[in-house]
Amino acid sequence: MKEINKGLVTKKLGMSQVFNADGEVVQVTVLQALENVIVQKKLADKDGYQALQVGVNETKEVKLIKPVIGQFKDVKRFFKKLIELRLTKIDQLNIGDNLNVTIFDENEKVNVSGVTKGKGFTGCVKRHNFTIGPISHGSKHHRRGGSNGAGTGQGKVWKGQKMPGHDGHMNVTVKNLKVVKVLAERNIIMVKGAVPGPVGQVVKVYN
Amino acid sequence: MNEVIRELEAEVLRTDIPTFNIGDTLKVFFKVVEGKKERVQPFEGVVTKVQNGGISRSFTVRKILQGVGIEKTFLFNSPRLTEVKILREGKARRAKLLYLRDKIGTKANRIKAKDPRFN
Repeated sequence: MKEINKGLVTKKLGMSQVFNADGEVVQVTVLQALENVIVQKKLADKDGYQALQVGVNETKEVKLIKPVIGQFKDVKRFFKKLIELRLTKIDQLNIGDNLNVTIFDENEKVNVSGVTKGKGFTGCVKRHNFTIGPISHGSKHHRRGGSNGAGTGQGKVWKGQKMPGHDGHMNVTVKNLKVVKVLAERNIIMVKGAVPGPVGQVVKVYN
Repeated sequence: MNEVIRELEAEVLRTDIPTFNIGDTLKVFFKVVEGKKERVQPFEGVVTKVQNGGISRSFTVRKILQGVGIEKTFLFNSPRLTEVKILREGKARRAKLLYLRDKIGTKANRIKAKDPRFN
């Protein structure tokens, strides 16, 4: 299994394009690293799995409730959001440390995971790429799903039958995106291609 | 667009390209990469379109070559664009000269010269 020893919580700022050394256009997504402060280290023998818990979006103690404040007793800083990064190596990192974009190198391949845009309740055609029926000539089978399965012999609809329903707003990981630029002073990382979610979405970047 | 992205793009925007208008006749010099060789190719024609803003801003130049209309789109901020020369200023009453595509013969690509009195 591939070792995942780099992880970062970022905000999607939007898309842009850059010119590479050959003068070609590369479409990039601009991701700005949030202030990633390690709040807690989850350990395999204690918690059953290994992860870094990082806090993002700093806030004041008075704005939080007591059970939440207790989580920050080691770092003495307070955050609105806690996000876990499942990394294989966390020995060298300590509670209170800051993660930033310099952990990534240019031309490195990264995986980016986030929550996709929600599409609401959608039909089969949009959700499962069903083929549409004839629009005219008396047809009434325009965007319908068609048959759900066999008749009374079977007597039921198989589990997993593709039907209309809620689409989008799910965790998706886009793999092997190339890091085009790392701007340390702005804490920005540019990756080639698109990443899930709307602008302003919090996405996680792993190596 | 996000303010940070706008600032990042503003750092690499080119300012050496002269300002021209729709209908002007240009000579555009751009680098062509053929295998490992690089050479500069000129392209002369009428500006029919200017699109987009920011770093992806582009313009389209049209000319007639051997009776066939050719349009080429260039990126303002591309490093492959070496030089743009304005040969003649044209008078256009539209933002996009797409109607030139339907013109045949001597009328194709003919744009009246700009009256210097209205400059």
